[in-house]
This record gives sequence, C-alpha cells and structure tokens, in this order.
Amino acid sequence: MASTATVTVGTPEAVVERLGSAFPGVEAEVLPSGWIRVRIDRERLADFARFVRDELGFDYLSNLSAVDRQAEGFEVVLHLVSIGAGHQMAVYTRCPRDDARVPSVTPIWPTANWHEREAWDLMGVRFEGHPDLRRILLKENWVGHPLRKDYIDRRLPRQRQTRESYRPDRVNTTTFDVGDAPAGADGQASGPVRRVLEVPDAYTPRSGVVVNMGPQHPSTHGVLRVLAEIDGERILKCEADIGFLHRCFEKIAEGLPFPSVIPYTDRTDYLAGMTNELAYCLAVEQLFGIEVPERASAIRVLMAELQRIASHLLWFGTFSLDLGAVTPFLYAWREREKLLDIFETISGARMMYHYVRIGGVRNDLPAGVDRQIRAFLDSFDANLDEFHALLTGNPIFQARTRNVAILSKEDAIAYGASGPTLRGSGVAYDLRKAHPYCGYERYDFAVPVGETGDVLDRYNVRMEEMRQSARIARQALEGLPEGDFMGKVPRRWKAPAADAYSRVEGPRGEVGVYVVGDGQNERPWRVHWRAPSFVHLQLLPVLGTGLLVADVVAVIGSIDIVLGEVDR
Amino acid sequence: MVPGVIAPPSQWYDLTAQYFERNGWPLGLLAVLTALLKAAVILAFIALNVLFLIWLERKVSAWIQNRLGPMRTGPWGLLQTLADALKLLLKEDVVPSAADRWVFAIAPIVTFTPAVLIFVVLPFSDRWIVQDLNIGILFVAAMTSMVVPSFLMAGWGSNNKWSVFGALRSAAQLVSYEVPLVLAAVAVVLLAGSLSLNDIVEAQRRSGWFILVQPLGFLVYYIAALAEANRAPFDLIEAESELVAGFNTEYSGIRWAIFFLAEYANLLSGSAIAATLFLGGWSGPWLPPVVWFLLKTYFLIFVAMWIRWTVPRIRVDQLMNLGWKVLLPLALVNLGITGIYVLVR
Repeated sequence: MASTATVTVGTPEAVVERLGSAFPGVEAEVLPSGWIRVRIDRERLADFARFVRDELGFDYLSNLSAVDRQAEGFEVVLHLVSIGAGHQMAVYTRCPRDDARVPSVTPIWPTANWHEREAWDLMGVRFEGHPDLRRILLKENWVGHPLRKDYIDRRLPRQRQTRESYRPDRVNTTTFDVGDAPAGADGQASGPVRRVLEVPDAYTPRSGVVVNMGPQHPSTHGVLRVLAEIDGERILKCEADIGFLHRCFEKIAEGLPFPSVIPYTDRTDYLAGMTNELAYCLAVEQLFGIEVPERASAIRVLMAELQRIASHLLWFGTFSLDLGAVTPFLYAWREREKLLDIFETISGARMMYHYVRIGGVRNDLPAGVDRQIRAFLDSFDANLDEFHALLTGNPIFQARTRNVAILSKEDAIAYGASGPTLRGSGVAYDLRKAHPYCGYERYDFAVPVGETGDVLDRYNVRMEEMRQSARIARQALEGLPEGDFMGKVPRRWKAPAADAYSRVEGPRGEVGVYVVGDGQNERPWRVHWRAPSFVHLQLLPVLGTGLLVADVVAVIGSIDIVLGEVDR
Repeated sequence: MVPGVIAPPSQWYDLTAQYFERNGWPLGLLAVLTALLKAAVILAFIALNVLFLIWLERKVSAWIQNRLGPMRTGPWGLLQTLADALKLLLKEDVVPSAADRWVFAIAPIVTFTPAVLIFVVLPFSDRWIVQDLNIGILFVAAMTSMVVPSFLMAGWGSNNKWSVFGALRSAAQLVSYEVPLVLAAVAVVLLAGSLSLNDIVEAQRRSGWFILVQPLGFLVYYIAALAEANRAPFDLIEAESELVAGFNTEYSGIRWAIFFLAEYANLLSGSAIAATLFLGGWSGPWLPPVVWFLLKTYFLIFVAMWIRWTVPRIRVDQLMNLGWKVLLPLALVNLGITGIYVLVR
C-alpha cells in the first residue's frame, strides 16, 4: 500500500478546503473541538476514503460504527486520524433501510475488517466489497440484527442438549431450529413459518491439521478460540474466533440512563475499569458540554495511571506465564495487590470501581490514601528493576522474543494498532500527547518507542510505560489542585441530538467511545465501544502465520488482549 | 541359626539360604522372595521420596516466589502431598469416549515400570544395591529410552490432537537428548573402565570425583538429564501454555497420578545417576554412605527445581538446536579428549 506517513496537510481548515474542491457538494466543517465533520453520500465513499488516505494523510481508522436512524436509514460513521498531522475526522454516510448497503473501506484500511463485520452482525449493514463479511460476535445462524431499533428477540427457550440430540456426524454443519421467521422490514413478523438453517463450517482445512486453541485453553487469556492450521509445529494459517463472552453491552446501554451505563463499562476491559469509565464519561461530558473541575481531572489522571500500572503488571505476569516462566507472575501479583488495595481504599472496589462519574469522580481521595500511594510509588522503581532482573535479561527469554512476530510500522497503522502495540513498532503516537485530555499536557513524561516491532519491543515499551506512569501518578498526586471533585451536571439527562467520540489512551491501546443522543430521551440512542483488544486481535493472522505454536502464545501475550473487551 | 544372636546383615542371605536347605525348600523360592522384598523396598523408597519431592518442589517454588507454599496439612504442609494423593485416588476414572481404551489404560504403567527399573542398578551404598549389573550404565540408558513409547501410547491413545502433539514432541526431544546423555556417560565409563555403577564410584574413591576432570561432561550430562526428565526449561512435552497439558491432557485421577509419580521417580533417578557418575556417588567421609548418596542426589534435585522456577520455557526449534548443535558436539569433543587422555595415561 502507498506510504502515507509523509502526506500531511497543515490545518483542519485546509483539509476541509481540499475536500470541498475534490468532492463538490460534500458537507464538511471544522468543529470547535478540532474534529472535522464530513457527510458524504455512499456512492462516493470508496473514492473519498482512498482520497483522504492517500492525499490528506488520514492513514489511521480509529473506529467504524453504525447507527440506526430509523426512517432515515442507517448511518455509518468512520472516525479517521492522521497520525502525522494529528487531524481527526468523523465521516458520516447514510444508506436507506430497505437497501442497507455501504461500500467497504477494508481495502483502504485493513483494520475496518472486523469493525465492518461487527456492524453487519449487530446492525445489518452490508459492506460491499468486504472480503469476508460473516457474523463476528453472534453465532453464525443468528436471525436478525439486534442493534436495529425494530429488532424483536424471537429465540426459543434454550433447549438442553442430550446424548440423543448430539450428532457427531453433524460436527461440521450446525442445524438449528430458528423458530418463527424474522420480522420483516416493517417490524411485523412474517408469519409462523418454521425454518431450519444449515450453516456450513467456514473452517475447512486445506492441508495439515486444524487445532482448536481454545475456547478452553490455558494461554488464550479467556474464551478466545484460535483456529490454527498446523503442519507439525508450524502455523500455516490461523484465525481468531470470538464472541463467546458477548454480553450485549451496547444493546444494554441503549436502555439505561446515561449515568447508569458506567458500571457496565467497568466490565468491558475488566483489568482497566478506571480507564473505561473515564473514556465513557469523557464522551458523555463532551455530548452534554459538562465542565470537569481541575481536581477531578487530576484525580482521574492519577487513577488512570495507577490503573495502567496495575494492568501492565498483570500483563507482565501472564506474559511470563505464557513463556513458561512462573515466578515473575507472582512478583507482579505482589505489586498489583498493593494497587488494588489503593483502589479499594479510594472507591470501595478492587476491580469494578464505578468511581469516575460524569462530571467528576464519585468521592474525593480519602484521607491517608496519599501515603499509601506514595509508599507504592517509592518502591515501584526498584520493583521494576527486579522484574527486569527476573525476566528481561534471561537468554531464553531473549531468544523467545527477539525478532519474533515483527509488526512493521505500516502494518501497525493500517491494522489500527494502538497503545504499546503501535509504539512497539516505532510509531510515537500516544493520545495523551497527541490529543491531551484531562490536562495531560501539564504532566512531564516520555513516550517509549520500540525499533523493530517484535515481541521484545512491545514488551520493553510496556515495561517502560509503567515507569512513566509512576512518574505521572507522582506528579498528579503532588500537584493535586484544591477544589471540587464533581462538576455541575444536569438534573435531567435530556440528551442533545448530537454525537460525541472520545479517545483515551488505555493500557491496551486506544479506548474509543462513541455516544449518540436522540434529542429527547435520558438514555443514549447508541453507544459504541472501540475496544483496543478487538482491533488488535485482527493482527493475530498477520503476525502468527508462519510461526511456531509456541510463538503464537507469545504473540497473543504481546498484544495483551482482554476478552471481556473483545466480546463486550 | 542360634536364637538370641543377631547376625550382621551381610550374613542374613547366607543364613536364610542354609535354613532353606536344611528344610529342603527350593532355593528358587528364596530368590523370588528376595526379589519381591527388594522390589517392595524400592517401591516404598520411590513412593516416600516422591511424596517428599513434590512437597519440596512446592516449597522451593514458594520460597523462590516469595510465598509460603503448603502450610495447612501437617507441620509445614508436609502431609499436603499425601492428601493430594488420596484425593487423586478417590477421583472418578474418566476415559474419553473416543480413546483407544487399552493403549490409554496401559500407558501410565508402561511409563512407570522403566522408571522403577532404573533403581535396580543404583548403588545406594557400597552394599546397598539391588543388582550390581556389569552393564549398569547401558541398562540405565535402555530404561530411560523406554519412556518414549509410553508417552507415544498416552498421546495416541487419548485421541486428542494436543496429546498427540505432546507425544510427538516427547519422541523428538527424548531421542535427541539421549545421544549427548549417553556420550557424556561414556566418557565417565572410559575413565572408570567399567559399565557398573558401583565400579564407577569405586574409581572415583581412588581418583577423586569425575566432575573435577569432566566438568564439560557433567554440564552436558546434567542438561540432557533435565531434558530427559522433562524438567523446565525443557518441559515442552507438557507445556501448559502451549499444549494444555501435552500427552497427559486427557488423564485424571489415579492414572494421572502414576504419570506424576513416574516423572518424579525419573527426576530422582536422573539426579542419583548424575551424582553417581560425577559426584562420587555414596563415597564421602564421616557420614554413612547412604547419607552421602542422598545428600548429593538431593542437591542436584534442588538445582533442578531452582532452574525450573527461574527460567522461561525454551522453544521447540531452540530445543533441537541446543541438543544437536551444541550439546552433541560438546559431548563428542569431551569424549575425544577423554579418550586421548585414557590412551596416554
């Protein structure tokens, strides 16, 4: 693909100007937040996408989601970023309900692959030209698209599988009685016709042996199923199969008042609850225009950085387990335990905090917790050195990670990698620096970057990030401003008819939250979660093909996925 | 036998044989009874040591990982392994429906038998040896390679891809490391001039421990022995983060316990043989020979545990590289130098 890193256009206004001349009649404007907002008709979307990538330098697709606009059809929203120039652009395109088709942008941004599959799965928008438009979160024989507003759940009560109903000869095809036929376009059931769906298994081996790594496997970090076609120890082809942990977060969020969604966000990436809460609250604050007091922002930064350390500690432990070293895991756990105690002191919970609230945080820092945090930070640098001594210099560790699963700079950007996975490949892109939120511009920290983009680089970046996070946390704690911990929030959450997209640098990468208000309700019309693990998992076939089985384990460990976030 | 007089143990066999002759009982019966007694003693020795070793492994790992390890069952958790063994005995015997039943059932026994048989030639002290075979080392090598078919049986019989995976890895690994292992031992045999393990110890009593003249040989032997015993960093056969549990994925309860027993019996015998070949076996001043033997064996076992809980797992291609491209040439060089030394001595 064309190298896009060199193309940069000066200002957002210049971008709008270029767009206006290249695509006459396109609605483009620059919002006060700096975002460029573009409406384009679907016929010109493919050309438009190629133009903005090649000519305007929008090389990074942050997010793609679809919104049900009822009578006006479906709206597909692309959030694009130019990593070089730092521009952000939201692209809206619509398609009518009865012809829900939009050209695919996967050929332009490969990362759109799974985003589009998800949009097809949950919203039923067909992406023309997509290489492999299958369902991704729901099972393949699901009927209907649940995020459509006219969706009616017509599943039969769950039927028990008995010894008699188990058909070993049907392992490769799945036969399901799907009950009544799905509702038509008008929302009416099209009659009590019983249908049987037969879905051929998509994973027929070409050669070699196909092994299922997961969903029950010790090193897939949850319920991930990796289908690997192997020849001896070598992987010929591998594919991630996800959705085992799908719990309809986005659908649930549509039925809850804005503040009540926060506890659910804790459970997406359950290792970084604070970051998720922060990402959601930032989006809602942006939607409602809520001001957050400085003290609350500083506390949020403190929490986010401690959370990053806690999450990276867990990653360090499990990554070493993946490589067969058990001991570092317990050392990492010892430190993480102290952090969880701190979180418990502050929020009352160890994992599901519900601490960051819209407009601020739930409560001020309790008295004495600063001593606890300082004690942790004081010993942390020495502990980090200890971790390095335990694992980093080990020749076996080096041999297992150096030059393994190299992710090039171009691939990292094209596949939407973010966070340490992107920086491990040598792209110094950190949202805390590029688009500061919560006053990150006031803190002094470095952004560690890798060179070759191998497993070792991603490892080193994360290890160094912990040190930098500790620095930020100390600065936040020392410079904690006086004042309120909660801003002024509306009494009634009447959502404006607008949308907001927040991007937060989470431990695993960019957490993006897209919130849409409908102009009348207290509930969000649509919430979409851009989960870094979901995006990163697309890298598995890219990185894993041609490696050994043991390397795939290292790759999964090095991109640091959390299945709760992948499946949502 | 005169009542009231206890003969020294060295004469017990002769006295019993006289007693048999006086009563006209066949001496063959005595031979069978002696063999059974020896087998019982060896089995008890293995069982007790394995119980202790598993406890020790848990404690050593706990010390290395700054935690306590088992503390609740018995003093310092000493009875924890016993409790675990009881639990395993009481578990349901699950055989996968698609398994090859016979192969699946026999595999643990086939694994355990050679592990026990190795103890036949181990000299616990100058007189405590079940059978001082004049081909001792050869016998040990033969028994250790018997593990390969048993793992293949377990992997194949389970009818599980991961199990077959582990079994094939084990075949590759054990066959590869058998070669440097035996070559390193052959150098010792050249120095001692005998295949009998007891003669090798006697030779070290005369000339000093072989580790002093064979440091390279010891290193090769110990690394290869770790690989033979499937100890980390060479535990690829049951690499849990890659192969779930390797060849014994489908095993549970008592069958799994037998695999576990064999694994620790192999660790014990491997360390004991290394101690015998390179650290002077039972020889040593002041303390009784059997104490020296156990001390040296347990020292090597501790080192193996120390390594296991410190390093990550090696990858399969690196394992093969290490075996064929590093250990084998080193072992050959060592053997060549030793041969020249013996020739000109």
